[in-house]
Amino acid sequence: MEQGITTLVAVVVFLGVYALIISEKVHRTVAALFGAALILFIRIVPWDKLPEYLDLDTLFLLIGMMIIVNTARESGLFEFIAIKTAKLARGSPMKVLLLFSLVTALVSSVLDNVTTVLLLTPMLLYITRLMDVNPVPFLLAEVFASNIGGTATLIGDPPNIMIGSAAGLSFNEFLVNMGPIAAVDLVLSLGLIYLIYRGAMRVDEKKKRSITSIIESLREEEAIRDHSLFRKSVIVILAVIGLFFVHDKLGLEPAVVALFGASVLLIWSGMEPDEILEKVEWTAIFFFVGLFILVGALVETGVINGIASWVTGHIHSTGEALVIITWFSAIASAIVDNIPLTAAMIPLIKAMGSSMNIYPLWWALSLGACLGGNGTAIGASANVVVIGIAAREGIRISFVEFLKVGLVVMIVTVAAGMAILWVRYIGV
Amino acid sequence: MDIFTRLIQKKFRGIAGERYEEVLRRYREFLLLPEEFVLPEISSVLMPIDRFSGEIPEGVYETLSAYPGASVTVVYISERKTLEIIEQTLGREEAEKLRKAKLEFAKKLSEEIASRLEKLGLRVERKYFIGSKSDDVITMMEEGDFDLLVVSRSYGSEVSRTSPVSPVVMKIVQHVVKPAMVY
Repeated sequence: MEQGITTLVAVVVFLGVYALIISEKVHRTVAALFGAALILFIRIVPWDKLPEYLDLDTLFLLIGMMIIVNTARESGLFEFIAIKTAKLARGSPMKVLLLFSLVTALVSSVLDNVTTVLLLTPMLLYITRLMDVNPVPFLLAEVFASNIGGTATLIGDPPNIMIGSAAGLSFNEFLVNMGPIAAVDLVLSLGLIYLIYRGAMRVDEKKKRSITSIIESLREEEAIRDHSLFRKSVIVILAVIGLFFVHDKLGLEPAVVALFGASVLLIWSGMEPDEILEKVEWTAIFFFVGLFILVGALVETGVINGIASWVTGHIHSTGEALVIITWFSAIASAIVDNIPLTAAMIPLIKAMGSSMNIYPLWWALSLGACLGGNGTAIGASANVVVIGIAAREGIRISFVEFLKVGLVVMIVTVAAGMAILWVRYIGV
Repeated sequence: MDIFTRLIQKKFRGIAGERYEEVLRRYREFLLLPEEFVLPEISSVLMPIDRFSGEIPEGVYETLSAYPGASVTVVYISERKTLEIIEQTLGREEAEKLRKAKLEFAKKLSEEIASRLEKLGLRVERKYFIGSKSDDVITMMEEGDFDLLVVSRSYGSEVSRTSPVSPVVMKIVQHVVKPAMVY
């Protein structure tokens, strides 16, 4: 096949898959796998070059963390955390807002966002029902905290995993660069929520006392279904996080750390592997596989290099690129899935490396891809899960209601993050 | 349902799948709603006991302590049929001896339980009579002014491996309309 036609086919297949994902007509995994199969069938990506494009670091890191999370989930660890958090809040709406946001952000920074909100939201809704307050600000704060927390670390959000793997960035580099941004953004988002919904944060003293007595009667120990598994899960999670801090010094890939932790937990817990492995989100893993092949086709046919040349011809400095990548990825992530966006942006940034310092651009991409999701109700999986749970419990958060708050939070947090990156890498 | 709600529900099913139902099920095991925290109005309790009932668990005393001032009727019923069989086979004298022994035991057991209940601020009335362990309890619950029945699962006969609840208790709880607590 001629080079021009091959390039055209690669672009058409990529855009076609993207369109299918946006349209929601076909499951995103099916769309990505179909596109990847087509690319392999017409040999745009030769079979022997496939390992080059399949990012095993990302795939194994995701699989390892999913095994750890799903095993820990069986012990009741998350429910235990939720009850402890509720007790600490002592019936005060402000404390509920602050503590649940903080815990959500912390848990999301090391475990996946969907599992975090899926397990914390029912408890949050329960407390807001007890307090008899509008649950919407609390739910929105949880969504924003989850997305912001995920930004803080290498393992917090899939785009970060992909960026870390592609650019060879360590866990500590992520923590040093994105951690402070996440901390500032969490404070800003909570401040905005408070300003917008401050009327909903009031509960009289009598009610506060009765809520406290109800919450105090809950026994977090009852949430633990398997004490032995609970202890083992906590130990393994802490050990894995500890290893992440030193993985670069030990010369270990983050994926190896996650797989090691997962296998230790599987052996130690004695749980049936079938039971745990069937809970790994294989649809997400295969979605990544499909995407890597689709993006590989764009690299193989020179499309990415062409775009990179065009971009570098128009962008003359790292500062300009920093602003453009941050806002482009943020706006795009608010509208479409941030995973294919990140997958496409990674080779583009790599290709720009010949003409400028791209190190700050990885952080710009992480910032935009992770926080852009706060902009709209469908911008991130955590948003969909929280709004979905709320809808099932009879609490309606409309697209416009989310947009009004989400867009403000997105603009303020992305701008603050970009300002921090600018000061650090470009100078005042 | 509007387009946005349908889209969210579809995406939600795609992301969370069955996991949410599982999470909810687990939370429901230990999260009570505010309305479920309201204790039902209980002012009068019937507590049938016998030699099979065994020791009353602490949990039962704890539960009853939530109703200070309520009256508890501790009743010991000696099975008429058993006494009749003994009278027919061993004679009136032996039957009378057994009746007296049962009365002594009933008094002792009732005393022990009553003192524990009184310490919890409950008013206790003790009764002993010969009758039917199942039918009389059912009648008392139907005709009396009781709000709650508290009965051991071994009441009437020892529980076996095949039957964790005695047939007498099974019959009682199947007939009694008011709340019953089987310990």
